[in-house]
Amino acid sequence: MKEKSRPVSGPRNIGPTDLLTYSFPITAIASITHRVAGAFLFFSIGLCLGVLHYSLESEQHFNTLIRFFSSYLGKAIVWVVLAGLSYHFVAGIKHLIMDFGIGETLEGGTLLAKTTVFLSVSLMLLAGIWLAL
Amino acid sequence: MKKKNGFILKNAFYLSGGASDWLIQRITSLVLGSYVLTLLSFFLINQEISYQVWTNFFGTGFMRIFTVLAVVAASAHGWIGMWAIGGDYLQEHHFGPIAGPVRKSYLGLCALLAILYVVFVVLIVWGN
Repeated sequence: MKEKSRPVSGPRNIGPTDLLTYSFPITAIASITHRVAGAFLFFSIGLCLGVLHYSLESEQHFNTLIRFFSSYLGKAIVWVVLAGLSYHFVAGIKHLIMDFGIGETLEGGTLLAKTTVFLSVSLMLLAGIWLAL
Repeated sequence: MKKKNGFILKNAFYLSGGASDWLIQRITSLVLGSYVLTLLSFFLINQEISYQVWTNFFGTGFMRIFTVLAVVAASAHGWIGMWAIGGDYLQEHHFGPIAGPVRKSYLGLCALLAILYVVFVVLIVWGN
C-alpha cells in the first residue's frame, strides 16, 4: 500500500532538479566557509613570510613593498587576506564558544552562525575602510 | 579485554589521534589569535611605519620568539585543518580510483608547505 503524502522529515528520493533549489542551512554555510577561509589562509602564510623576509632585508626593499601595498592591487591583495582572516577568526571564536556547550541546539547554532556572518562582514568592511584611508 | 583496556589507557595518556588534534587545534588557535591581535595593535598604534620602526619591532626578542611560535602554530593548525578537509573531500566517491594518489599528493604538498613555513620563519627571524 502506497502512501499518498510523503512525511515531512525522513529519507526520500531527490532528483537532479531538487539540487538546483536546495539551499544549505546557514550553519552549513558558516562551517564550509570556515574551511575555505582556513585553506586559503594556509596557502597565504607563504605569501606573508615572503613579504616579511623581503621587508626586513633592506630599506630599499621595504620601501618597494610600501609602494606596492599602497597601490590598488596591493591593497586588494591585503584586503582578501584580511577578509579570510576576519571570517576564520570570528568562526574560530564561535567554535571555541560551542566547545563550552553553548549554542548546540538548532536555534542556538543558527543564531551563532548568523552572528558569525554579521561580525565577520563588519570586520571585512572595517578592513576595507582602513585600507582605503 | 586486557588489550582493549590498554588501548584506552594509552589514548588517555598520550591524547593520540582525534583527541590530540582537537587539543592542538584549540591551543594553536589561541596562539594565532593573540599574534594577529598583536600585529593589528602594532599597525593601529603606528600609523606611519618606517623601516627603522619595522625592524626594531621584529628585532625584539619577544617578537622573534612570538613570530616563530605563531608560524609553528599556524603549520600545526593548518596541517590538521588541511588533513581534515582532504579526508572529507578527496575520497573515492568524489574521485573514483585515483582518490588515493590524489589525497596522498595533496597531503604531501600540505606537509611540505607546513615544514617549509617553519624552516623559512626561523631563517627570516634569525637570518637577518
